[in-house]
Amino acid sequence: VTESAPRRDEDSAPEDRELVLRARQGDRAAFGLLVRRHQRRIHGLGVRLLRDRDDADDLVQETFVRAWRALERFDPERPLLPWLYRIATNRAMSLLEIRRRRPAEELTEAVADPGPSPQEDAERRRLHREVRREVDRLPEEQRVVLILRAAEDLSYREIAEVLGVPIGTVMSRLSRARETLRKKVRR
Amino acid sequence: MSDRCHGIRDKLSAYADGELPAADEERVRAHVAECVECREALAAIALADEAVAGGDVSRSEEDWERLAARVDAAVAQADEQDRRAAEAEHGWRRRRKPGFFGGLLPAPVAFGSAGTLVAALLVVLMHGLLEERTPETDLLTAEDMLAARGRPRSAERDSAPPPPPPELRALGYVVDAEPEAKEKEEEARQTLASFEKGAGEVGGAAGGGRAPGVGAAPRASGVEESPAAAPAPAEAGPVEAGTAEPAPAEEPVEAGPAEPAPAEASRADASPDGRTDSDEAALRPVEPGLRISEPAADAPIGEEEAEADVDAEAEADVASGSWASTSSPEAPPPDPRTLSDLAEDYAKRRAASPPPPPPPAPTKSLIRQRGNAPSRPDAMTRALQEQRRETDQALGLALAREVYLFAQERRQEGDIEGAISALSLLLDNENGRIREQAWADLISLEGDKAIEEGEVVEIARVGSAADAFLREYPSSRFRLGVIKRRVRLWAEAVEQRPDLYCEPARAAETDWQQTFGAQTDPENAESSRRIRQACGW
Repeated sequence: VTESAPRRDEDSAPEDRELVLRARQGDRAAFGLLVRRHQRRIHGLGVRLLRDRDDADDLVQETFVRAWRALERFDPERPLLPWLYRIATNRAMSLLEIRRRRPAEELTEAVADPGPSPQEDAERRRLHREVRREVDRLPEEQRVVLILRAAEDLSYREIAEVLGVPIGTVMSRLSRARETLRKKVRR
Repeated sequence: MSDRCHGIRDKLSAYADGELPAADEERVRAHVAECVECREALAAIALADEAVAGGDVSRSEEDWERLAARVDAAVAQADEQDRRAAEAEHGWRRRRKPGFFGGLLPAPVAFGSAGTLVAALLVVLMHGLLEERTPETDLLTAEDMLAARGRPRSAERDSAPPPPPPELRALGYVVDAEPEAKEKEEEARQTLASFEKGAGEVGGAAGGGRAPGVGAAPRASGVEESPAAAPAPAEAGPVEAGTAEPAPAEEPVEAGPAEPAPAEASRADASPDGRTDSDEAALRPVEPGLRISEPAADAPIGEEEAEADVDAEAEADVASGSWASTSSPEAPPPDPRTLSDLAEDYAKRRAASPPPPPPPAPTKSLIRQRGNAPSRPDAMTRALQEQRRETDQALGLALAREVYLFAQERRQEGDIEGAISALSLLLDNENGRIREQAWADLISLEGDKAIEEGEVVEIARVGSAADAFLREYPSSRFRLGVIKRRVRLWAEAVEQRPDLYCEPARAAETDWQQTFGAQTDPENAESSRRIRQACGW
């Protein structure tokens, strides 16, 4: 996402910065380019957090509308994606919080299993399914850290920034989440 | 895990991510090289990561473009909304999401604005039934309602009904006729006037010109009631909407007894089942509420025609303005059977109520009698009135209970809007406990709904309602829940509009902090953090 994540070439900071500056002047087309650049990441996060593709679509829309409205307050010198992640994560957590208080909903396997691959035998796929089911049962605060780390590939510092918690908290939540999964999922 | 692993195991996760300080990393590496268990733990971490990252979240390029176009449109729409909001300076507090309550109701709790005739009538009905209030009814809690049998409590409050707190009005929980609702208001005024007309022909001058159900019953009890005891809250939205000209409170005392007698007599003659019902005349103003579900089954012959018109109008109103339209197109409308049952049930109990008191004696004669031992008819009147009062209280509470149960049923069935509508009926209840419970429930239901829909204006409205609730009921038994809900609402609102909502959000956060703090309520520590973050606190 930032310097610490050079692996992503799609969000080179200067370009984001330029588009952000244009968007702040009211240039919706420039903002549209930012949407196209980052929507996949937000969507992926949405699917994993909300376990529903339609909800993830909604999350993408709401995240960008909120970002658009708040753009004035965003420092263009800072990387955009962590900020978008933060908006999306906060929003998703609110939705999850409401769901939790509603009558139990079926956990859905929104992230479809990839088709069989040479590297992945049936046993491994079974294990993956089992892990994902257990991930769904983790406390939200642990689940979100795990997803940001394992699926979104954020560094601890970035996760801390997105969630607004100390790095030590990120570390301990992640550790607890993984320990739980290790105990629950037996090979 | 062996003892050797102590101090290592909790670092494996960070080790796997390459996030350990160099010194720690070296130590863990050395340990893992020799420890099978820790190597297995590392493998489990890798498997979990793989599972979380895996899975197919991809879609076609066309789908991505479609989603992006949808976002473009939403951004443009947000721009337009903001522009309009800026134009109408105070408009933002009033606007509602289109489609919310069919776009007909400005708010679920805006039943006072005239479109919601049924709601108003039901409330009016309850007003009428609870008219002769005593301290006991005031202190009954909603739990008591649920227990179906109210336990009398020590009297604490005087008999004057509390007006709805001004905050309710300000926040849309009690809504005055708004400029944009003028048209609907006029419509309802006419409808209600026609109710009164129908009633007035029989009920006589005593009921004329007053809001149906609100102190309108021209029965003997009116003679003795102090004006203050008649709950005619000119403040209350629903009543206000339908009240053309509240008559002076003294009117029934002086004029009441003179007129109704002949009218009632003629009516008794006309009554098909021979019931002499000044009782029915007394209830007349509230009857239209019942006929919504159960059209004039036992309407007196002489009035059938007029009432048929009234019914038609009432039904038209139902169809256009209230229950029928309270559900969005997606959600099924509230089960009409339940409402009918409610009315039917009430009608049955009404029919089973004790016989009516004899025609009221003129006030002056009553006053004269006070110095003497009560005459037999007077004693009987009082006894009957007392009996009647008790029945009405029981019926009023039973009705409130039915409404509350109905709301719960709706809620359980996932019809949140139906539940909100039903609870809204109780918001104006003059029984403080009932109102308190309904208010707290509404904050919960509407709060969730608003957060889910993400409409910041709506979120802030419910947040403000929570603020007002805590001011109104500082020692409510729902207080803790409301404080939690409130901090979540304001966190959500302030993130979208820190320019508008930092002040209330901080107040909510401070309250939460003082009441719970992150240690005892980790669940909402997140909201607290979000507020501090959004407001640069």
